[in-house]
Amino acid sequence: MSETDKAVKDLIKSEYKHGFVTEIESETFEPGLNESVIRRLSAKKKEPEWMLDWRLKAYKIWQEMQEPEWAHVNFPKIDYNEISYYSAPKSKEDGPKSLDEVDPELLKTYEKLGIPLHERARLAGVAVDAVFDSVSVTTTFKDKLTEAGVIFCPISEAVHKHPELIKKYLGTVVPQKDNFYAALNSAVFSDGSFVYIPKGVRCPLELSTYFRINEANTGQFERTLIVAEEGSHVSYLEGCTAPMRDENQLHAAVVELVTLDNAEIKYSTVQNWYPGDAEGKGGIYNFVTKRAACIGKNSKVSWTQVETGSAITWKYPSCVLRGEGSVGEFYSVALTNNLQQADTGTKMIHLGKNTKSTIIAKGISAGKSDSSYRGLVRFGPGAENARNYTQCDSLLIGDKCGAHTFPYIESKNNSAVIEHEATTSKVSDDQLFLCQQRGIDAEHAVSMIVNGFCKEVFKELPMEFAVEATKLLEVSLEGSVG
Amino acid sequence: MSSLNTLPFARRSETLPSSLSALQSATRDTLSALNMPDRRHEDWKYSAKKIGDLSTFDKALDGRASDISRPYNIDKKNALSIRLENGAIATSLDNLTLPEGLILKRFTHLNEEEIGRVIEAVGSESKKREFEQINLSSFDDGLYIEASRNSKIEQMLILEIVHNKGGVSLPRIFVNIRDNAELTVIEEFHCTSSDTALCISHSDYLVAQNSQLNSLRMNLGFAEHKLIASSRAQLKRDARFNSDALCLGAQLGRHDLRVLLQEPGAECDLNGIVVTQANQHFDNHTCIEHIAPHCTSNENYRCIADGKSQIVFNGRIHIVPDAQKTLGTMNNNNLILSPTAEIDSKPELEIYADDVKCAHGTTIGQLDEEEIYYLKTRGLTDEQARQMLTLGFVLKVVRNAKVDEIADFWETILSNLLSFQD
Repeated sequence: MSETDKAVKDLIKSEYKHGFVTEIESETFEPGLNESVIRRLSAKKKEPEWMLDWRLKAYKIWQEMQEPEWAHVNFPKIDYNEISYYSAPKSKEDGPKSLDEVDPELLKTYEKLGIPLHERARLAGVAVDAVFDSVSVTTTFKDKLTEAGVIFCPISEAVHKHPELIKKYLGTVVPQKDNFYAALNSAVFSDGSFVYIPKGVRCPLELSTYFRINEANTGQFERTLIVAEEGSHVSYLEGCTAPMRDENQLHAAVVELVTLDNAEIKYSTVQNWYPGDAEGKGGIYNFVTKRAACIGKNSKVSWTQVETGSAITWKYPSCVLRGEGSVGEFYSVALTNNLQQADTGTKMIHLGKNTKSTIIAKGISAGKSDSSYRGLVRFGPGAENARNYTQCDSLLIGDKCGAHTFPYIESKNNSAVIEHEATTSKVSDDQLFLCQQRGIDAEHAVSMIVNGFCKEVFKELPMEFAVEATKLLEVSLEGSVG
Repeated sequence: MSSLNTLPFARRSETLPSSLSALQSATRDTLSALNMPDRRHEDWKYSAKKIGDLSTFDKALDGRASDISRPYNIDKKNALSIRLENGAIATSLDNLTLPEGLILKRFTHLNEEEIGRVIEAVGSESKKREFEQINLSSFDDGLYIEASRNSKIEQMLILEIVHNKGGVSLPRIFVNIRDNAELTVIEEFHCTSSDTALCISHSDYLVAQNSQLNSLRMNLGFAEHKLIASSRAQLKRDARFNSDALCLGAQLGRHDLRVLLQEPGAECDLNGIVVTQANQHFDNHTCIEHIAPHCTSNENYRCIADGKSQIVFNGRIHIVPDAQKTLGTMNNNNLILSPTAEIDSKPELEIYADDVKCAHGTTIGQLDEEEIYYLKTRGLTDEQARQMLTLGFVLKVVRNAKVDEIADFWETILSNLLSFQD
């Protein structure tokens, strides 16, 4: 395998391609967290009193909570007083009204990331609510969406323009006291997206937000809320890349989805944040709470995620299947390389009759990384004729990595059916040999095999993401063969 | 919360040899740092609520000879019975005619070398296990079983572990299978007490190079009582450990089974059948540690919950770095018969080596309506069809038991239990 070894050595040296920093003046709070920081943050955003109260309540809850330690990850303790809780690009009074007014540096950043703005955006049919650090700067295709009655705006704007919707839904899926990071997020959330699809509307565009962490030492606390009214449909894309940094950056986001009768939300994520270098230095901590409440009859939520980045990924996109006949889906590829750690999976809580859920989780561990699938499938007493199918497969590349599965399966209903299967294996020498024999080098062969392994998940991704995901896997796997 | 060493029954034996006595004293210190598990304790998440208040329990001593008739037929030539009552050895070991190669001793009569083995087998990781520590710190006597080198012992050893008085009993078994030896040990846990009883047992199995231990266990009469058992098997090169367990409902039933595959070529096969009814509860925690390369493990547990009962299964396969060429499979199939029963399953894989093949599968469900329909078309009533299929579901595992007489006996018990005529 000496040839492969050489290839490995070369590739190990290849560096993170999206690692660059855009130099823009930004206004940042000094590090530290206390009540006055929250008041200032809220004042900065000119939030109404009720919003401030909501944040303060969350802060009180957070202060009483313990940081959880049960995950299969190791990291030095986070000092929450060393994080700055607000960072915004210097606003030109009221912010830009059109693309021309947007800071050219910022636009360049998007360009490097390949975000389709201008014509590219129209061609790609994507509306971008670009979040640069914490404040949403620009939203495209507003007109087309407005025409359909779809609300797609920064959540800070929605607090002012649609307070009734925010009051009604914010925190209903992930309450302030849900968990340590959700409480922190509720207290200090900076911005995020708000999407409201009215009754019977099929959103004409795939909505997309690119998050990008830019300011060193700035924890980013995004809050996303998507509400799909009766009979509506929306596909939401979330993709992330981050510049190269040496200090760990905390990202504790909260995503809440609400679906009413016959509504459907498809939520896709490609996450490629800076994973740290080969020695595990730097990298993002990605501790996210994502949950969907399928309240309505026959409603459906589908989570698709491709996780290749972050030093530590710790998240469980979940579905609470309350409505009769509601459906939850979770398709995930989690790839870890070098010293990355991932503890990810899903929770499917079946409460309503005839609810169905499918979980397909693929974990790939390479280098010295650790990846864990942790899932919960719970069938309540009322979940008559509910159904779950779970498949979690792990692929090991290299003898220093770890792959783990911790599924919790709880059933309190005798008419429910649960199937769970998991396998762990490595890329087989036979497969590799066959490919190499046909003239495909080891690196490409592994990439092909891994892509084949993940096919079931990739086919659930929207077109443009599927392409990106395949490439991402290739890039992320570089240096792992041997 | 008070620590475990304040429990009235947590007190050491007066009769053990000095080195074992010293071990018990040392264990008391560990015990003082442990608390009674609650639901925040991951290993007791689903079962802690069933432990209840143990502070009123004391050791059940001097329960007088209870009458246990042999629950199944087994040819006397093929089996040797030893009675343990409330943790003490009730059968006089001196007058027994033992097959060649078999050594049976009370812990109070062990020599230093044997004590050394008993102490060594305990290991440091057991310090986290509350009930194992309680047993270790407070057992009064134990049974030492050894199969000497190159002895393939045909006669089965039946251990009647009887609890016949309210209170706590702490039986402790040590099985040492030397090189190239083979032995079958049947552990029967009986409870005949009318007052609430709690049995906290522990068994250690050492299986040396190229030897085999067949372990069968069952609990009878525990429906109103509590049984918290732990077992640990340590396997050397090319050793084989077969475990078959029939777990019947108890107020609280719990078995922690740890298998350490310490040298290449070791193999274990774990089978379990769990059936609970009414308000019963049974919790199986198994852990297979693949410490050496080229080891194989198989696990197959089938559970049926009826009434308001609850069954917990937690199976863990842990493969350490460099335990390459490991094969591990785990299967857990569950059947819920009533709308109020609950089954919680957690099949875990923790893998740190890459050249391994591991798989686990879990299902929870009910009988297939099509299968029932098929049987009904052949003239069976709905009830008969359900009974047949339910029994068939567990028989797959029952018939794997290494002793035919036991498999027959289990089949009888189960067909009575699962008959739908109340």
